[in-house]
Amino acid sequence: MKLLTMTLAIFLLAGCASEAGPEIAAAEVEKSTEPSKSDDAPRPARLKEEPAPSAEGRVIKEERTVLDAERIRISAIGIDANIIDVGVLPNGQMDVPVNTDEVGWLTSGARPGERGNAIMAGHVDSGTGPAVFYQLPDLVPDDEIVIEGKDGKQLTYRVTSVEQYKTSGSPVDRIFDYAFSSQLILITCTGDFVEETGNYEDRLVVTAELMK
Amino acid sequence: MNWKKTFVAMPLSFSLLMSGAALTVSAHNGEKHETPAVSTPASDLRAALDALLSEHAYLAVITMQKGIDGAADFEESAAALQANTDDLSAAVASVYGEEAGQQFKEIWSSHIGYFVDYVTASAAGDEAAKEAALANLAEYKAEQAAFLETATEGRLKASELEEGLQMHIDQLIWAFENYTMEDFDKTYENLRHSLHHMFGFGKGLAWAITDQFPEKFGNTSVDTLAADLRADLNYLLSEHAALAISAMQKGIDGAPDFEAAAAALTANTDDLSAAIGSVYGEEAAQQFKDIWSSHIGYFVDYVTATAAGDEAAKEAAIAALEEYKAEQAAFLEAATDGRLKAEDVEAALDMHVEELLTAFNSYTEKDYAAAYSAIREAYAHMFGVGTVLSSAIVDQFPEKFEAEMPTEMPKTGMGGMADEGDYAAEIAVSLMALGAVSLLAVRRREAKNEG
Repeated sequence: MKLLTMTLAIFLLAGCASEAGPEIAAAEVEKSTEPSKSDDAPRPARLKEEPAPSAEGRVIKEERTVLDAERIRISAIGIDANIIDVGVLPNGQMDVPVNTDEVGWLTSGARPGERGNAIMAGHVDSGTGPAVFYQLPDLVPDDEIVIEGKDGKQLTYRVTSVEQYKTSGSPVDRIFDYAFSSQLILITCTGDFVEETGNYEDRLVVTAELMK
Repeated sequence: MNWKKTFVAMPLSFSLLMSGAALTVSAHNGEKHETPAVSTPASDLRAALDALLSEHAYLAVITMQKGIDGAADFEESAAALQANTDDLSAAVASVYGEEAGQQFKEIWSSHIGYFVDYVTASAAGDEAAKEAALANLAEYKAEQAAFLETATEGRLKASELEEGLQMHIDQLIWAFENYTMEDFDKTYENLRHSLHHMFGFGKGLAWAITDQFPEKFGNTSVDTLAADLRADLNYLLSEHAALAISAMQKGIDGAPDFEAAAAALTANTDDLSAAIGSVYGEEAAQQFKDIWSSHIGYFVDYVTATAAGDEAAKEAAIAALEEYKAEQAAFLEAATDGRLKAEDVEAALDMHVEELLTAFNSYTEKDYAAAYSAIREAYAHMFGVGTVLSSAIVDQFPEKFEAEMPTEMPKTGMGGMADEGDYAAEIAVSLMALGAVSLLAVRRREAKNEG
């Protein structure tokens, strides 16, 4: 009984006096909460009586490489471009980079490597000539797309579909939502250009899945 | 399929989830502003699935421990796990129909059976039988993944589901293996990871269902910052209840893994405090941690008093818990600027304390059926608390949760190449000619010059 009381007292200590450096302390509210390790809890008393931790013991946790996207490379169509952050315009449109040689990554979507859709848009042309995604229609399933992060790490995606939609009939609910898979979605303009609206009639949507 | 009817009549845990919260978020000074919603049909589904799936992981880990220990409450623990399977199957049936629900139940139950086989084989020291159980689990994995891929019409891919299921299997097996090897720190680390893992699966499954039947969920999304906050708090709060229950049982039993269970509970408190800190700042986090830790301490006092048969000390612990409730409620009312009313918070804490004490007292009185009924209630209740707390936070800091998704496609062309005609067709024609490569090269150079 004395032992029990003692261990309970330690429990109390552990409950009150841990000087843990919680992993999510500095995290934004938005960050998902990963369990922190319990290593930092003080538990001096019975440790010696316990067998040494087995070298075979394993801790299984999900590890994902998640990138702050910096460059996109698609060797099949000769693309090697800078990626910048973009948001949403007041009219609800996904924004695009001003520089037509750059690709815009939607910051409110998934980051490359996370579960969900990492969505990137690029111009097909400028006012005077071709732009970064001019060759995007040439992509075919199984072509590879490499995204490089600011830390130099790379993720490779494999094209699963290349689809063309009327701009107003595009599946925005699907594109701008979650997905259990880690996917990359590239968007550009295609179809006929309508002078009156200054807009192309269609959108090209390339979907690619993260390769393991 | 009468969706609406069946979905409203969701199983035990789901209804608990909805009614368990004695709390409501008060409208703040009658202000009207567009606030990102925590509770939407989609995020409610996500929370309901999170609750059942993570409870499954908890009860499975616990039941495997009870099994190898030959514990007196093994049967009731296994029955609670079975009841969870029933609820999960009912949830599946409410979406995909009775037949699918039954099919799911058979497949899902099979994997619990294989875990039991693994435990039995471990108890007998039968390595071949352990291998056989693992082989069966591998088969289960494929069957379960195929079922879900078919049900969700390919939204969840079998290959990815198999990966996730393998992680679930590994986490449970290693929580158990480490337990038998008395590497208790790793036992509880795996337990914590196994709970957290299920929230990812819950989000994925909820997403697939809402994507499949968008109109049934008012076209709402499972993937919002508010829904993520809710899930994070749900995870930490339900894990708190789970670990507190285990630590109290281990404490009264003088079990060798008591300290590891208590340390896991402390790590959970650290994470919860940090989550509070990410919203209300460091000082508030420390204050929260002190208050929150105090109630864990009073539960310990209660366990100690029970072990000593000291009724006066038990009364003292109960009285201390009363004081804690008031202090915790005042803290949350102040932090949320009155969005959470102290009396409502006290009522919710009252329920939490009652559930944990009932679970513990029933356990010590060997009324294990009552113990596991209280354990399931205590676990589900925390999802109501998480919902209400996240609602208050989102209402208080709406700007932090406004991550707008586009409703329209981007404008990605200015027409500079429109005169080229239908370039897609042109390229197709060019490709047929052998000059394709050089043409593309020219185009790329043009594109570069443009920049």
